[in-house]
Amino acid sequence: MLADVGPATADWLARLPGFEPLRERGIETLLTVGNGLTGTRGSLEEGTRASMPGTFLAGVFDPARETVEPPGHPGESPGLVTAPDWLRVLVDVDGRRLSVDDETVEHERVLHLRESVVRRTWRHRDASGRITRIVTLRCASAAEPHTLLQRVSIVPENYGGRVRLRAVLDGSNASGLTLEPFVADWVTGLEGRTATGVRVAMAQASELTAEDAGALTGHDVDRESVAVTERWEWDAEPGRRYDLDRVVAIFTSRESREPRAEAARHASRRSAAGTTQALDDHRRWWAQRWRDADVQVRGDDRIARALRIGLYHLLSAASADDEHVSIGARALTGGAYRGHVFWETEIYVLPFFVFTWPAAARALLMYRYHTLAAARVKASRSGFRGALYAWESAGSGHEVTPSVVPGPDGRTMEEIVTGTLGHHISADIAYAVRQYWVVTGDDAFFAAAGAEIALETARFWASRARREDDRRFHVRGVVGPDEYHETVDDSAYTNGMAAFNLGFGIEAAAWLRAHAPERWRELAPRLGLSEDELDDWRTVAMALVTGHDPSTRLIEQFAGYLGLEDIDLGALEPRTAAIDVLLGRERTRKTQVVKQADVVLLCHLLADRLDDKTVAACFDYYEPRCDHASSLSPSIHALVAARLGRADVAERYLDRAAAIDLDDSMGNAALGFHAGNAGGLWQAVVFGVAGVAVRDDGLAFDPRPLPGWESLSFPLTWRGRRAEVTVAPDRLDVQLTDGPGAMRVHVGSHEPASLHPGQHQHRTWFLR
Amino acid sequence: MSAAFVLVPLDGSSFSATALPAARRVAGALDAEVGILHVAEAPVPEDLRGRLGITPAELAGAIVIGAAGTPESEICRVAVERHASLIVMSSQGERAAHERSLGSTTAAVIQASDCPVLAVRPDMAAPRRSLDVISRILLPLDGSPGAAGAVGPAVELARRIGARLDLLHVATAGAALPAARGTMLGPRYLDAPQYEWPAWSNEFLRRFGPTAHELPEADVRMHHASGDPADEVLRHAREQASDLVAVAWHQTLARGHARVSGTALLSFKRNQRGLCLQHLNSPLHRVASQEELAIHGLRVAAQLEDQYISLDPPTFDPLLGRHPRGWCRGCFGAGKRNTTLL
Repeated sequence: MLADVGPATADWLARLPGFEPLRERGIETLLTVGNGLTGTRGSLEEGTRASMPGTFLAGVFDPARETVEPPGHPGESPGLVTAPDWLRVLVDVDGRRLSVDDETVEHERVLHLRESVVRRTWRHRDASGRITRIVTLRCASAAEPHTLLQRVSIVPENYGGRVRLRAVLDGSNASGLTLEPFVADWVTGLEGRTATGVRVAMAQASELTAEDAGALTGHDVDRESVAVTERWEWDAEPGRRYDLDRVVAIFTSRESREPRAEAARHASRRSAAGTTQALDDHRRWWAQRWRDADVQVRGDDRIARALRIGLYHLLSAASADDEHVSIGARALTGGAYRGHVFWETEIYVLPFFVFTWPAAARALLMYRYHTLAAARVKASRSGFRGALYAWESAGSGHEVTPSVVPGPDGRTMEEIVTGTLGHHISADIAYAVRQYWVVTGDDAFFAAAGAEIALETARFWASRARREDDRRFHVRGVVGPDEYHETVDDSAYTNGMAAFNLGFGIEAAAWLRAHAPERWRELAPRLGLSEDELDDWRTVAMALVTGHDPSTRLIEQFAGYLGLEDIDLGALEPRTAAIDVLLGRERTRKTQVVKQADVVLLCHLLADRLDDKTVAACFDYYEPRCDHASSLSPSIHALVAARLGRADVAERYLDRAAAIDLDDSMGNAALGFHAGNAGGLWQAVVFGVAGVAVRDDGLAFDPRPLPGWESLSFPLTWRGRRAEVTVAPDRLDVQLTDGPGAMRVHVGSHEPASLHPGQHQHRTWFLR
Repeated sequence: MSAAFVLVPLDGSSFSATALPAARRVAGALDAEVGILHVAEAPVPEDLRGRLGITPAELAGAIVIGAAGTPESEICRVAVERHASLIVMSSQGERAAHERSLGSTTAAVIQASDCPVLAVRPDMAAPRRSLDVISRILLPLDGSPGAAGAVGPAVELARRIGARLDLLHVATAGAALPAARGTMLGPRYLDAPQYEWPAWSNEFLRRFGPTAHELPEADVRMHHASGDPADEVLRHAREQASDLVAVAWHQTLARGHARVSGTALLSFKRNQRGLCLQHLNSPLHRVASQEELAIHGLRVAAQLEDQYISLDPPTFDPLLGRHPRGWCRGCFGAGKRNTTLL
């Protein structure tokens, strides 16, 4: 029996009282339960006209067969399949189905963040005044990701009557799968198959028990073409509780040769054994994850809430065990972006995992390693060497960005250039590899996989840049993070990250030679790497155009940017849409309006190469010109503002980032949670407010406490050690809680301190 | 339920008679009776039919009602008494024909009526014939739940008449964001437009399209524009050859803050299009954006080359002749103006 949720304080609960059809799909996104393998939106069990149920499976796309030829129309691009709705439970009282459209005495859904369980309380009153109390629980087991658990409790509060209960595996909302029902002993299920033969099997095993009276036996099974239903009907007694405990097992041919048989076996076994153990393991898993990841902000409940919900969704999205999937832009919480993986996974999401769950970070980077072959193909087809990663990546790593888009009326077709010109993703991935490597010290990963990514992406940039008459190297015709300006020359972000990438390639070669000579002896000839080529990389890195003007300290976003029309964004406020919608695409690209953090993001990523005055000059210039038309923008502005000591600006942008998913401020939360924004919020707080930076021998801190924040606390993992950090208005505490050895802590101009596990594990620094 | 009833006040002028074809067209679609009301100074004249200014053929099948008193109060009284689904009248009488103002009677009815009002431009080129076809209805929405109050009746009318419904969202600079819960903002054009556009359109239709109102499928198209809402509505009405435009509003013409006052309604020109103003006095719809909606609705009214105005009451479905429970059915919970989900 699925025990009820444990006690929780308000800050660990996301409460959604009532039912509002207009916002329902956004709420479903927020209430998603996931475990890296699956993500299930928080739809109501019985469904409503506002519902958009969806269960997504990591790595299961339709069509699964990806080719080197990128898709045209978005519909031709692979998209995550939507598996059958396993939550569907229908309750009829004396022949009438209960619905939230009827009179509702009480209705609330609560996401218990600490244990990742959604609990729903619903008291329904029918036309005759009969009140039925229904409580449902659901979770996607994190400890056992093939197991999904649900409980539905029914109490006829003031009547006795005929109750019919139907537990349905409902494929009517599924997409991308041809479904077939099956019955195996007392397990029923649905098996689906994508057009390219990927199989997905779901099996259910349920038990209905009456309070103080044991199991109600004898249910019927209805098989329909795309649904299979277990049906009970009985005379319910007033005040007695009836519990449906349901186990749904899910397997795909990605991990099983016989998904149908395995799902049936698993559901049967798990149901017979009872779900207590599975739930205990699930809760333990989440307790461990929160121990290593939770961020506490005292004094700002809204940011605290945004962070906790954001981190909940990030933790729900990752898997340490599957190296062949990554986290899409909306994770497994909705169908937006067809589940594709973009650059934000590495630049926005990955740092959180690097510092809190390195095994998951490693798996995410291994996905890029396993898709390196496709990146080589893309580089070669584009006329370059090395590895050019897909702007949008699904299963194989081949480019899946559509090349055209229908307009809002469904007819106009416009050209999409990110798939052909969004090259900075290669450097972004290399950046993430180095960050993971430096923070974790995972040399085995670097030797086996990371270094090859570094070398191949560096090689791409050396072939991509061209020396011109001015003796400088130029990268022409790209699109940077600011996608308002397409096909630009010498994007400062792109070139800056490319220069980093080239240096990293040289560093990787040197490290392999010194520390993994066997690997180097195997890799260098296979890749055809020569000393001359490494020298070329050095030359290119040194002579790439940076856009930096020493006199103004400003970095020009791309060649000619500063000559564009400079329009006053403030004069257009308030407004109900993004600037490019108001001005049109053509006009917008002739202005200096920036879609999202671009140079400002570079100021964060390459902070150790840029002096404070340059960062300040860039922030001052670009911040007022930024439209923040991407969810990836406010968090980075908060981060850089915090570093510059501009507390009020940082707070404003933190709030704006929080609003994206808490308030659906961009109007697009229905189709999924903004994973990149959640990762960006974490970075804004950890890198921005606490000023965390990585050193060779430990971690550095440079706190910029925000007014009103009583304290900011979070754990960090560094090379197998775990530290707990607290930033208060007047002090910084760092405590080494466990790990294999000492860690140095650098704080401002203080002498670095060594923390040791056991003794001398805790230190306080007083800030000004 | 008694048969639906469409009320047409006629004062005997050729101006007022322009409303009749529109009334018949909509009444036909609603299976409604047409009632012609003539208001005179007491006592009610005996020869009512002769004072209506229409031919016996035009009168066929209609009920004629006489009343004495001030026109606006009598029109509203009879509408309530007869449970009218709709009042159809010309936007101005003969006296106001050469002024750029809404007729005072029409304006008063619009503001006082508990049932929708369909105002018909009197100076059409070929008024009576031109009203036989309503094939396209334009429905501007700003993404607020209040504006969406116009969707249900517009969809229902579109379905019954077999018209296409064009939903139009206009992104605007200089307009505050609606603050109501459930408001959907404008799209982000270039944040991965290959996905954002279709996703935005789908979600917009899910929130505000026919399925959100438990209505069967209708021929609905989604449009998007940016700029001044009134200008864009007018432009789209022209481009889409809309016969009728439905704009949500809150039933007050003479607001000092409105950039265009009710007087501007006179500037309807030519024919073949209509304007349906849906008022939003329901507590559920009492949202900040109503002011804006009203302003833009009036601006459109001022400039549209159309002929109908309809004001839908909050508690009565004009087209179904019943209380519009379905419009907000299933919607409960904290009704604060706080937009936070959590």
